[in-house]
Amino acid sequence: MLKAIRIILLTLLLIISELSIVPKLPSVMSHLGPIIVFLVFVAVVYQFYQAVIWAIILGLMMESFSVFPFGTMIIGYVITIYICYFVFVHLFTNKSFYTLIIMTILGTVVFRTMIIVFQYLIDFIHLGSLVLDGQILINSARETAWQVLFNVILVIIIYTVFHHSSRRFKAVFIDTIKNN
Amino acid sequence: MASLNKSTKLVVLSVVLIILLVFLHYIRILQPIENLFVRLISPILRVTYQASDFVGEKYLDYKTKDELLNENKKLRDQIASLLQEKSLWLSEREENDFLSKQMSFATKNNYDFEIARVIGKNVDETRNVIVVDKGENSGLKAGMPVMADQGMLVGKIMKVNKNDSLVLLVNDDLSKVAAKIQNESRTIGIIEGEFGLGMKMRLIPQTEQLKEEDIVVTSGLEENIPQGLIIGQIESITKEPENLFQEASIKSFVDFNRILLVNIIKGKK
Repeated sequence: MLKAIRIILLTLLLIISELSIVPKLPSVMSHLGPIIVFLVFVAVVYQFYQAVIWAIILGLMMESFSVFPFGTMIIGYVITIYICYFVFVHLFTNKSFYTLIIMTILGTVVFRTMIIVFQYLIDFIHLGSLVLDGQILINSARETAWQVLFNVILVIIIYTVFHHSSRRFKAVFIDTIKNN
Repeated sequence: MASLNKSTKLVVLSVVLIILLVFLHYIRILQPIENLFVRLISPILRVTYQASDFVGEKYLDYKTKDELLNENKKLRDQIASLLQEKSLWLSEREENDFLSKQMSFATKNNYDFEIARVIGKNVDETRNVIVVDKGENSGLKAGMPVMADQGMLVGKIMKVNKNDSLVLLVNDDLSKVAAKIQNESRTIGIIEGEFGLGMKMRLIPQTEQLKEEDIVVTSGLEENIPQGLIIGQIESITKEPENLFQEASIKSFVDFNRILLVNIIKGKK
């Protein structure tokens, strides 16, 4: 029961922060993506399947507030998690602080790219032609860069909090920060 | 292998789940759940959005205030810089006016002259002396007349160094200048300083008829000092029957405390 309440509260917190807190943050900070940070964190630190479940649940909830056709957000989150997992399994040997940061960067870039591609696809379906404006692409790249930066900052904060508050968490990671 | 199978299973499961969800959404089976969710979360989102908006506004207010303060500071600095520029411009204009007047005066009278800048006053303050930035190297000699404005005598060179000179002002008690009054009889006398407070014209015969506001100029009887340089005008006359001479207080047209540039006449061309 307590676990269920915790999950509901966490889901609400993520939805609220993504929809009503982050967009009102000053200037470039409004590009922060707490949901994608959370999903990557779960995929790297906990179990991959848990991240997939969270991606489906959060995606489903975000669909109600999305301008894209139903399913876009779920597909976006799930594919992002799959790509991160694939890279993690094939390129990284273990879980560390640096792995987490690289996965966050990758997850952010993949998700943003997918959203941009979806946007172009929808425009293409509606307009019948592809409008590739250089300035829009530059702006999208700039926004992605800002999101990467703030997501990395957020994941560092989350990592630091967990690192200092959970022994189980410490056991999962190899300590790459400790001085020998 | 087992892990791969597990992953494949998960992929297949999630793909099926997504397709199912999309399907259920489009046949509107999911709609009541979606509506309920939106209805439940909307008030929370509204409150948090308003709260974020309020905090954001406060931040913006603070930022705007901060920006205004910065802008204000920048503008103040700009004003200070412009005032400085204006002051420089005014002083340059004043200097320019002075130079052009002196030039026309010297050209009209065919004088060889040297413009010098006042760089100080005498250090002991017992004498009414100013220091100018021209000296021997500029051809200056002791005794040369120094003027502050068109033909207004303010003193004579007292001491000459290589690159600067000391000018004894006409109101110093050591100063003596041969002068004449521009009246009908061209009365002559000696202008002496009064301890920096003013000037007196002495050695005026009792028989001479003087009037207040008569202009007093140099007589030209002194070496190096041409005639006709204005010294001042008669302010008051002291005539005692028992004395051989009468005296006149002379008021200069120049404020001796505000001399910045001087014109030194070196002689005729």
